[in-house]
Amino acid sequence: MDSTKTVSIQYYAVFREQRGLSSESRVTCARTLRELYAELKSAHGFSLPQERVQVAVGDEFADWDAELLENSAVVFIPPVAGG
Amino acid sequence: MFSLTDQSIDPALLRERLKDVRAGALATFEGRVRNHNDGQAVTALEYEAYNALAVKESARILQEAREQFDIYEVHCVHRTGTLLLGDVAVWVGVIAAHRDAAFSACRYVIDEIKARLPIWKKEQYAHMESSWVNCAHQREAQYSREELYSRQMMLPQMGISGQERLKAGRVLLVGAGGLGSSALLYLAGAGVGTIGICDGDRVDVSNLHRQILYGVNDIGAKKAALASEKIKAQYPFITTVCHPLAIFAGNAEELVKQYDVIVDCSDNFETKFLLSDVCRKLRKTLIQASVYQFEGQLSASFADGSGQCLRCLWKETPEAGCVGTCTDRGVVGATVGAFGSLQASEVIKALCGINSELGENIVLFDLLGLSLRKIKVKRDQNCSACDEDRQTMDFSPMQETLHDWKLDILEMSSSDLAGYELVDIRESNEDPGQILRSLLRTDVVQMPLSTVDVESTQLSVQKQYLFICQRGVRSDNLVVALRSRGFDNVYSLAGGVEAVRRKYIA
Repeated sequence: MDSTKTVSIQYYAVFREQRGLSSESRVTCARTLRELYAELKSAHGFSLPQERVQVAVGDEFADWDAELLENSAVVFIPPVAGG
Repeated sequence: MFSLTDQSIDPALLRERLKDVRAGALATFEGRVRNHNDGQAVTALEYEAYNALAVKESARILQEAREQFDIYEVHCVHRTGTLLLGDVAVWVGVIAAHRDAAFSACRYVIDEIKARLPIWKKEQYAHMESSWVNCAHQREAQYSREELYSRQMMLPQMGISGQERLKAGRVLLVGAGGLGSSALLYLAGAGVGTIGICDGDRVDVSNLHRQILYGVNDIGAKKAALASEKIKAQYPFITTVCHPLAIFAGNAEELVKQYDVIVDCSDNFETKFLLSDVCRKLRKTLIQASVYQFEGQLSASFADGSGQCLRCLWKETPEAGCVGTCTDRGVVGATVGAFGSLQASEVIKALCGINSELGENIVLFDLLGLSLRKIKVKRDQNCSACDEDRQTMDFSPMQETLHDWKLDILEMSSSDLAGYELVDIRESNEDPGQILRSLLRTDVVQMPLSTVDVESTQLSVQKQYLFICQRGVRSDNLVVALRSRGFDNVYSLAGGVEAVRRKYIA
């Protein structure tokens, strides 16, 4: 077993709608947040390109190329405009 | 112009100063000292003003009247000192081409003068002790500050000083929709002294489930004016200022400048990013919220530089429609209500000097799962909005090309004119169309400005449109608004119908 890890993912707004879930736990081989998003995008057909998304780990915005660590709490945040 | 005088007011002399052959209407109002008030016989009256502030505030009121109504001039004189029964206490005169504008502007000015000027009056009663009353806050004076606001003033974070800071506060609400309905009601209720309401939209039946300021009788009416009236009726001691044209790059800076705190209750990325950029540049506090179905995001950008700048998060404004809106993805009214209420709470904290978590965090709140998550503010060292040296944004892009879209009738031949579709945007009571047709000897389309919706205007890309109003002010505004929405085939006739008359009649 090389680099599989389990992470928790929180979805907001359009992601929640497209995933049909608010949060989930996922086993992944992705090494970075960028790879994780690409994996989820193809698995669930997310409509937003990664440049249009912010990602946070725990309570801090993170860099897309940051290493994905075991047990990370990942949050995907799309822009929202309703009012 | 406005003046304060301790000499008696002579209406005849004042009327004389408003002679203008262009004006078909002069409307005047005289406020006089009457012999009774609240059942008490009054024998005389004394007025005292805080001069510097009265002059400044009245200049603002007269300017608002000039902007809102199509008038040539407005004068106002207010007395100070001792007045006897029947003496003129305040005089307002307005001249305009037509009576409607003259009447409306005159009414507006006297109402605002009474409501906003720091002038105190002392009625001398025949049978009892007299006392000074602040005219501006007479309605509020019926109920003391303590009666009105005791339940919030008892909070240790607020107290009397907090209440006074709310009263002195000037807050601009951008968007009087779902978030705006909720935020506005709480801000006005809390006693925020001056609230500007900016919205270019009209009430649609599909708005009612979440925009709780409006009801079925309001469908089709302009939101800004309606919201402003409703708040005035509910809280007569609050000053509301109506800005009925939507905010865009060309007017944003001018609008934001007039206020201390801006509340972003808009529903589109363009406005949200524009406000974020302008408020960073002018160092104004901005409270933003965006909602999606059952959830939303709350953030702020403070005058001291703390908080989340949208440009630090997203270098480029997301294109409209990249994620859903209330219109196409649906939204629960109570969700926008909750976020509008959170915004009002943040404005109150900002005005009262109470520290906010939003200086360090943005908040994601999901009302479906009732989960609240705070995420630390993200800074971009190279942000074009935060770094003063990089602030290259031009919020008045229309100024540079002013002469490209503003046409001078003196420089136009009849064949030049034939290249445009001429559109008279004056209202039906201004007798539009006729005079232009006879002077220009060409066809003129009539499209009263009150019926124009810049968001959904049906203009042909094949044509060049030349908009004409009485003096060129309304047509300028319309063209700026249309151009900011991508129409480059629209023009304004400088000086309006009057310039045409000068060319062909004089």
